[in-house]
Amino acid sequence: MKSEAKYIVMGVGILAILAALLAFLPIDPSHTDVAFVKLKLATGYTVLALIFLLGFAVLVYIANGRIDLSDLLSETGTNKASMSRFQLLIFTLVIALSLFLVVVSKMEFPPSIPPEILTLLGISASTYAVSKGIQTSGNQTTTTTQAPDGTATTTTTAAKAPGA
Amino acid sequence: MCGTASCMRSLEIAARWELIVLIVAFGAVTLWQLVRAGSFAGLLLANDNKTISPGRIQLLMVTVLTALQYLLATIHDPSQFPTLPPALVAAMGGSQAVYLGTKAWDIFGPKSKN
Repeated sequence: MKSEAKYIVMGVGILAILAALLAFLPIDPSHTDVAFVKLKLATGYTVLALIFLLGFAVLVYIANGRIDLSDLLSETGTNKASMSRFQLLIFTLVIALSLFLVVVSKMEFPPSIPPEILTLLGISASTYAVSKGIQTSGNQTTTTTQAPDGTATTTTTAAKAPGA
Repeated sequence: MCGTASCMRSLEIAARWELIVLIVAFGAVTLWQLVRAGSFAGLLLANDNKTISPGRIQLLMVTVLTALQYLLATIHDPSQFPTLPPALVAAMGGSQAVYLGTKAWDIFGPKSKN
């Protein structure tokens, strides 16, 4: 059995257990509010279990290398770390973590995001884009050759330049 | 059987801790994989792969300091997004501009054409 199928079977199993619990719960028809509370709790814990299993599966895949993160910081085709990628990663993670802390603290989404944060993210992403453009332009070498009849031919070839 | 409010509270606490555990585990595993793959090698080296690049060093320092300052401010008061001083945002923009300038000079400057 493929490993992906195992996780699907696990999820279906949890849902089946939930359905069985709900089917055999002793519920007094005159107390429907209690039944609704039980339903809410059972659904909530089941969703939690599914999210945990999904996250755990992704974690296992990252840890054993099936999800490859080695190119997260380095430019394509080189083994050297890219500073523009690094700063974009750092700012994205820090602001995402801050958003998570704020939401967990107040249990609601913040009504507005400060413009400084958006400016910071914009600067960071623009730097990455410009750096990528510089790197790509640097990787292309332009040569101009003159034919015997006097016509000039310009050719642009891609060459691998180090660094990012 | 627990009461309605206390049961909901338990579910809320469980959800909060599950997310915290997952996020911390994701961070740790990602960092471990990056270190293991040698992804940080050459982070501070210039384009020629031999010399240390001042443009990269200053960007690294400004990035790490700004990120740390922001993270600590959020942890100190997580009820709202902390505001960044406009001077810090301007410094960040200047630092990135210097980095891009040195990078462009390294690639397109007269030395690289020799």
